[in-house]
Amino acid sequence: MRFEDVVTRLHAVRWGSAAEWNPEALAWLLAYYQRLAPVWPPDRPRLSPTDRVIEDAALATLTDEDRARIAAEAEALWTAARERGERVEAATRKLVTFVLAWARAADAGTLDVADDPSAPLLDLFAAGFQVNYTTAGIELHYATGWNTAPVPARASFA
Amino acid sequence: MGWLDSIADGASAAWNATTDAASSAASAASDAGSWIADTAVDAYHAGVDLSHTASGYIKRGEEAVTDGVHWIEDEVDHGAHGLASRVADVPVLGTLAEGAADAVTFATQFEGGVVGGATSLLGGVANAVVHPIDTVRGLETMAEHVPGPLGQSLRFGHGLIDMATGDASFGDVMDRSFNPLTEAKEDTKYWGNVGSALLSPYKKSFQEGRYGEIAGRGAFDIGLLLSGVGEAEAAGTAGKVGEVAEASRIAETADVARAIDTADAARVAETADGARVAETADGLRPAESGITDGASGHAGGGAFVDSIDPAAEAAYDGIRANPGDVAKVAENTKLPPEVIQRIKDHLFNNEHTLTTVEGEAAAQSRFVAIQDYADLWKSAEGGTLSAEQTEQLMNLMTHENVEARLAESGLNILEPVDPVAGMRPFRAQGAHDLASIAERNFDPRLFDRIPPEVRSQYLRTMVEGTMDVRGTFSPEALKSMPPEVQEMAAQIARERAAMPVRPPGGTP
Repeated sequence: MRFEDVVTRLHAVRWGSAAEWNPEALAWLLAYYQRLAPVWPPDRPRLSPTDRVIEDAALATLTDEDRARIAAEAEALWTAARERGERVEAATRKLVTFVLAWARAADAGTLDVADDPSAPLLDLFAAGFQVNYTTAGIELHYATGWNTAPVPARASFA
Repeated sequence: MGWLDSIADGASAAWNATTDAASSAASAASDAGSWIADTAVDAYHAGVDLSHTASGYIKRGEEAVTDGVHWIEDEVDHGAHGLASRVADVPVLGTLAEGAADAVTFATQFEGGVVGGATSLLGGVANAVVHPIDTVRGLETMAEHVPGPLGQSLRFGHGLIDMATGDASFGDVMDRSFNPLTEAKEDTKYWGNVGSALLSPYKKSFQEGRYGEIAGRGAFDIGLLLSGVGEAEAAGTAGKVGEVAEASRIAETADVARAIDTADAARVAETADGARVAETADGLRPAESGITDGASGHAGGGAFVDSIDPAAEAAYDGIRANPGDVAKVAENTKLPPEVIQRIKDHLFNNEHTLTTVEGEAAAQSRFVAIQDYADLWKSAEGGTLSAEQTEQLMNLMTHENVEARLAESGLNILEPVDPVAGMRPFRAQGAHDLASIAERNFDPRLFDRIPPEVRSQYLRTMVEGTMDVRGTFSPEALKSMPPEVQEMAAQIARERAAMPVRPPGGTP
């Protein structure tokens, strides 16, 4: 089942542990945005990585049971991270919730795995990067710093 | 895609020819390399005390050498093109011969540029060593505007990065890299704008059509500057602390700059999942620039200061219009009202001077509205924060308070966007970066990235701003902090403990 696999992968992540910057991180972020095309409203030139329209779309098909399971898995992840002394950024936490929701949707057959926006995010996290959304832009954090990307434009993916 | 293959093959062949020429020039110059480096390093030291008289002699010496180089180049140029002209009317062969003659001239001028670079650096090397990365970056930009294969190859590489960051379409990149009309227009505009003394020899070469000489001079200058950084660091022990700190900072920045430069972008293409990266690149055909001005109504600056979320902007409008929230947030968070007011003014109310793209005008603008921040603020006002939200709010308050205090003391808030990488690099010296480090309890891995002169000037403000929100640090928190942060925190705690207790309302 995809959900179980994703949970396993997320538990293996060491958040923001990459020793140095890797431009692949930006490629993963852009790949995530590219897969948001089906839910990206035409009247929104730019979307934050955790915009409410993404959240609404990700959570739309979930049952109450799904939501409870996702909340429990997320809490377990953050507890484990805290015990390891890792700080997990707020935007990353939200993205992980989306990732779990999309995995649930894939298992339920309501999301084609090929269209799953979580695939590049899982790669990004597994490589030791995490996302933070601030007034400076989209920060891609690694162990000794971060680089900040602009919020991508919808027109870039048309 | 046959035409694309042809262009790619042509570009590849041109690039190989250029690098062969470079190798040839490098080989020819290698014997003299040590002498040149020693001479330049000596020049760096000597340049500090150089009198006008000495400058005059050096200038005359430079001119003499340059004149000689130009004579050799012209002879080769005339000879090569003279041979080519004999077969100019022969179809195909004439074109090939002219191309070969161009290559010979280019290679000769390249070598001439190396010698020319060695002579003209005597006066300007000190500044270049202190600002090596800016210079190297400038040289790369300049090299893009060298007519011919070198410029084409560099523009194409730069264009690929623009595509990856959403700042150019595939068509734009091809046009800019390989359309002779666009190339000529951009090159003429660029060289028309060149005005600095450091670049004037290059401009002269351009005006005289000695394009290979520009490339050769640039190759020499870059190599010398890289060796110059180490020399500048060594000079620090002799007392040039300020200069060395700056050189060291820039050398450190170079790591970031290098990590996101063309070479690494190429590495991504090699190492990343081919299908996924190809898919990503294929999706990047922006009709709208990622880093130029948007249509949001914000003044200039584009994507980095544009409005993103209308709902968040509306929420910020509501917060701005609410005069009673500061007292409620202060009451619910147990933080001083003046600290809450400072944070509200900084995050929601005030306009700031925000750097955009390096070399472009800053924008005067409020911060972009972020829904999560509005939600945290409203929850703090209503006293409905969850445990997770409380943690996030304390991080946000710490960040904004430190950033506001650093900005009040004159520090730039944001790093400018690197126009090549299309990102704001982490330099650990703007108010935003320093506030983020403070927010993370001065994590030593991040703290170590702060340049020493920035650290010495702003550490107290960082620690004070953090303690405004978090109070006195717990022994456990202190334990993980760098020793100088611990010392500063202890000193501030002592000073605050000695101050008379302030009555409610903030009147001393």
